[in-house]
Amino acid sequence: MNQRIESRLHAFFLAAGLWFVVLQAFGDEAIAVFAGSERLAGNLTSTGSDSLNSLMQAWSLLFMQQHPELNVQIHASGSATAAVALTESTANLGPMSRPMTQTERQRFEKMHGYPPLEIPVALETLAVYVHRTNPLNVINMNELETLFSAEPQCQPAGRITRWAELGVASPLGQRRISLYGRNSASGTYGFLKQQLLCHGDFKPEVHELPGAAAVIQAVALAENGIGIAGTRHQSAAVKALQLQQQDQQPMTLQRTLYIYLNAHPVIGLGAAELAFMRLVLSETGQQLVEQHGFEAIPPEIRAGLLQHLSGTVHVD
Amino acid sequence: MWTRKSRDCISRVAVTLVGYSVLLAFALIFIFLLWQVWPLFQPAKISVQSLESASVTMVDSYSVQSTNGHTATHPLMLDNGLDERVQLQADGYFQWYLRVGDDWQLQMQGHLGLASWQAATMLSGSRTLLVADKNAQVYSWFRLHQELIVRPRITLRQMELQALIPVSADSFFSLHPGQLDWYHVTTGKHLAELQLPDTPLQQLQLSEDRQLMRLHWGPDHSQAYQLQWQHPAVAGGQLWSAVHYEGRREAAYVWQTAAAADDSNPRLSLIPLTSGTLKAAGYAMLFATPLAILAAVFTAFYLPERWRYRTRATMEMLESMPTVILGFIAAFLLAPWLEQQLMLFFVLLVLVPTVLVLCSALWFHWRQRQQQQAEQPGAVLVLSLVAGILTAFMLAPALEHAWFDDSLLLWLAGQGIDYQQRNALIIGMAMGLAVIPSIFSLTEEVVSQVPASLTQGVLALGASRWQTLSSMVLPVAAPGILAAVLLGLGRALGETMILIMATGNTPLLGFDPFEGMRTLTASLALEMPEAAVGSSHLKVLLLAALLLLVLTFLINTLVSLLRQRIRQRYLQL
Amino acid sequence: MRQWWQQGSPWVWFSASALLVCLGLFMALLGLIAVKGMHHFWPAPLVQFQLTEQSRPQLGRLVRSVSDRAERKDRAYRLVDRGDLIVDASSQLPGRYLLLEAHQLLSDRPKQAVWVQLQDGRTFYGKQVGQETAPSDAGLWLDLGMAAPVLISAVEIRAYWLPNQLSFRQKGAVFWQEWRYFLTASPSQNQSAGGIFPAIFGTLVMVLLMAVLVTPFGILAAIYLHEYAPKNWLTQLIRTSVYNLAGIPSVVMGVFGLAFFVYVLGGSLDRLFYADQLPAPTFGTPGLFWAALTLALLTLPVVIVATEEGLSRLPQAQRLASFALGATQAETIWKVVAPQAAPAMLTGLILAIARAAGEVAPLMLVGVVKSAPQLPVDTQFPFIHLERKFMHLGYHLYDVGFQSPDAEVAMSLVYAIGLVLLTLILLLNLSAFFLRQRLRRKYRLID
Repeated sequence: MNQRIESRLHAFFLAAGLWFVVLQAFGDEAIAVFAGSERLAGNLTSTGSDSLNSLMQAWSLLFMQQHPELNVQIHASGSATAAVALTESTANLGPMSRPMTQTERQRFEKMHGYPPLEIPVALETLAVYVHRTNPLNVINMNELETLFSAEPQCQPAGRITRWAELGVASPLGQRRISLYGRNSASGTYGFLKQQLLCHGDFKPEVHELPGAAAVIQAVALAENGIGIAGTRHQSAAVKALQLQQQDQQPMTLQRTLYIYLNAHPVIGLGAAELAFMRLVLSETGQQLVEQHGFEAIPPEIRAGLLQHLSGTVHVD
Repeated sequence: MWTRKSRDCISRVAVTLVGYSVLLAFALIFIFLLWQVWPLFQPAKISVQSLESASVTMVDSYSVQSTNGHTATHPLMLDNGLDERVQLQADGYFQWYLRVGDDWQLQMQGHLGLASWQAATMLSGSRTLLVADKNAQVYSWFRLHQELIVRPRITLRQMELQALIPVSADSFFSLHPGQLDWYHVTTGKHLAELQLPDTPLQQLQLSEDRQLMRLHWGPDHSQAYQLQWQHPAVAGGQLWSAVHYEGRREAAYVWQTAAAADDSNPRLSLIPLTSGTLKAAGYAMLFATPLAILAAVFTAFYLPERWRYRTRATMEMLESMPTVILGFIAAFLLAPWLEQQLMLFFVLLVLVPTVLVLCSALWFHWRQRQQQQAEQPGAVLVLSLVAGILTAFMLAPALEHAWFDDSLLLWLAGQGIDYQQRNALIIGMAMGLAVIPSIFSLTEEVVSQVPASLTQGVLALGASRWQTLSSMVLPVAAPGILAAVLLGLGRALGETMILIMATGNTPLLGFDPFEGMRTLTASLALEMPEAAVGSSHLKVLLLAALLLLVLTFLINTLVSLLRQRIRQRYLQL
Repeated sequence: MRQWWQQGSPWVWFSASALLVCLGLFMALLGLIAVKGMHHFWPAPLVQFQLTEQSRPQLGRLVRSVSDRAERKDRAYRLVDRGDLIVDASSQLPGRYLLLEAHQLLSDRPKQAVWVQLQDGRTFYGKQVGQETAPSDAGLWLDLGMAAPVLISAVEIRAYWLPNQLSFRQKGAVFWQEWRYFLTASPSQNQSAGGIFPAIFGTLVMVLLMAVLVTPFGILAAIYLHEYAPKNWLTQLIRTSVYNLAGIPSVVMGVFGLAFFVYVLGGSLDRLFYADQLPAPTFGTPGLFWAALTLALLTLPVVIVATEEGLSRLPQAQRLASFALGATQAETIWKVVAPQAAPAMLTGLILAIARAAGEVAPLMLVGVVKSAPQLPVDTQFPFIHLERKFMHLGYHLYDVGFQSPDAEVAMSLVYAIGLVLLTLILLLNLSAFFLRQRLRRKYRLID
């Protein structure tokens, strides 16, 4: 029944939209992607991480200056969308702020028959923020896990719900801690789930906000708030806490940001994708990384990556 | 002549087709969603697979020993294929190891509390230990630090048990002579069964993705089977019941989608989302209904024609106010303001109506003294409203100082009531504002269309305007007002942007006004793009969409029925 | 007293105040957006501040006062924007926004303070060095509070002025210039500077495409329901489905658009026509056409209801007269009825566009992106790129507010975007309102 409707609608749609389909087919022939030559044209779609978005935009701007006929479109609604989009082939570039999980890799392999190509492009440090009036300065990982997890998995621990339990005096001490984090599509969420919670669950009380700026702003507006976001989002209205390990050694929560690509083992990477990745890993590309408050990939690793990329060149 | 006629005919056919296509479009949405969601509820199956096509390499194999094999004295060593290992003695004494680097560290030891047991296994890739006792009960435990947490017990078939075989991180086989059963650990549900030949089974092999199984009865007697269970996270009834997941201390309703985490099966309980949707809509209606209905009644019955028309037009225009703006203001302006001024909010809530009642009584009294008709005042009313609001502004800090030691929030925290900045009150106000125009427009329409003959009759009998309204107009228009409220409810249930931006998306249960919520709509908008095509997660989200569709369908059908009824009533009068 | 209660006096007061409160809340909301949105472009005075007693005074833009209530004492701060930083590494404090205490602000506001914005969207505040008021050919020498003045070359500068010297009227001129720039430029600096032209353009192209899709269907369906449909259960069913279509939550429509239009229809289109480009998708990915189609489905009932209302206002006598002259039903409808109901159809269309322009949730799923440097309409064949993703005002607002790197910049920008969106929608609504009013007046005369 529904099959019939589907095909009917399909037929109707085709009739209605025939003119532009024809136009489109001609149009795309005219602007086919050239490989090897300097002239690159067509569309390059990036779907994925919100954390990497500003950087992707900077790279794509630079890239489009070099290749004016190429159109780079950026869609950033979270790292998980990158894996889905690459698997479904709805994107060429998949920026992710965490490594792909086993399940995502399997899905990709099942669809395409080969694993996705993983290129680290930048490093980011996460920090824990509280309201500027909060007297707390230091927090250790165990406390942080206890705060955010429904049931601590890394270390046995009690429960922390009020500021007094972190040693904050009254009046703030009496109030419950408001927790702010990112939504589940984000790489921050996945990274914290793996690294901070040892794969445990987040508390249902953790606010899932759809953007790092929203986390900072929420903490800036809530005296009893605590939130986790990248260091480059820090504003004057919030205070970053110093992170400590169990043994009071200072530590940082650092994660690698990646771009995933669909590189066919025989055909190789598309020319536009390759040119883009070369730009990303170039000296100028990595300078942009630092300008945006991330940390650059060390040059020796970059050299290896570039060589690896060249191995997957599409030779016509 | 022929062309005119045929043109008429063509026109008729084309227009009719388009008319029907509206119905088709609506049906398509329904049927498509149903069709997408359907596989969620398909039960697990074990079916025979022809050997030729089964060329997939089998990674895990379990050899089946002869019956009552390991009730012997030697300890049984179990592991989950990753980093946990349990050594189990015949008397129920166990030692639990964790792999750190290359060596195994003893984490805990103790007694299971079972005098004897028949079979035991560890689920692959999980921390759960399964032990079957003599009475066909399977106990399951997992280790949380130095503690064993008990999960629900599973009752097996009352037959001789040959072995427990782990299938996935969440399901296992129980092997009996001539019978193979498949159970789900988290829910304890019996998934499927398979009749086996009487020959004793020697070996069982599973493929890596757990979709194929091969059974060997001898060197040249084997058979491949397909294990079909597409949506393990749903089939066991997790959507609507509390589930005891591994790693947690008790059963709970959890919505936590983890595209980023490999190990866990997704926690897809629709209960928190549904309750969140109802909570958000409920608070919005609580705020919007009285305001909108009172305002509409006043507009329809008291305002002069000119002003009525203008007010109605303004409200209609406000109906298309983009909710993304409302959401932003609610999240970053209203929420922090309300946290600072909670006392003021309550004082306003109490004081303004009180002042209004007092002023109205005084006014009435005064007019009577002057031997005048108690006309309704314009300016006095506005003044008293403003006075009420101003008094509240002035009184609130003083009252807060006197009663709550300067901070209502801290006082509340002392009473165990925790105020979260993103809460149901905020949503009630922001979303209430969004639905006020819908309720207002329909109520106003219904009330103003009450036949004039009726109202004039009642007025002629000497009733005041309000008496006419409450005794005549409102009862007549009641179905229409109900329709208006339902229309508003439908809109509140489907609202998305305000909820994404201002709720904090916390999947909490319950109706606490000072806590946030996560709604079906917000989850749809946030999670649809991340959900993989064909995954349980996507299907459950589509189910949530279907649920919303059905809810709003019921509400809208009811609304259109009520509107029809009131139209008929007016025609009759 | 009894009489007071019986006559319902308090209830009248309540209902009147309910109306006042409703309207007051909405007006407050609109006023807030208008004021804050306008404020974003009004040149603010530049002030001098010192981070420590010894440090060199720097220039900054006063944003607003902030007060904290810590340990039961109010502490007042000023939020100051010190502009983009030329050298990031040297500064100890993060971000461009600082919270300063009153004593850190210096009282004098130098006349030579310059607000300068570069072509790439970066903004600097500094003291002009030298006497010329206009930048020389080389550019503008600015003292940014660092060791040596910095030369900003003339080609890089987009706009600059000296806010502390401006008269009220000059400020007004700057205000309008900045508005014009905002409406016509592309975003830069990660959406936190520049304009919103692509978002306005994307919104307009999308709603126009939607209008093209929805108009024929909506009008024909309304004509069917009003002119052709027999009075039976099927017609009732169609009517019910129109009402229900209107009540479907927009996000559910977005879900349907993604799961059916994009994945099913778009996927099969790609396999049929663009097989050579797979795995790179053409139509199997969210895009302009799917967004327009989804919103067309969403706004179909709006057009149907408005058109039908217009049709029902036409006097029946006209139809009968047409029949009496021997016209067929088609001729009656297309030559007599439809032309007269055209304003009603237009009203419906405008209302549909107003609704579509304000929707965000379904678009998040079917084609809106935070940044699409190329517009969906350009000079390249085939001119309208239906498969491209596009920017949208409502989504831009959400994105700037929640996902921009600097939360403080976003705050004031969001109100400006909101003001544009709101103005657009109110204008559409107003035009629909006046059209309908004219129509009503016209037929009241005929009746």
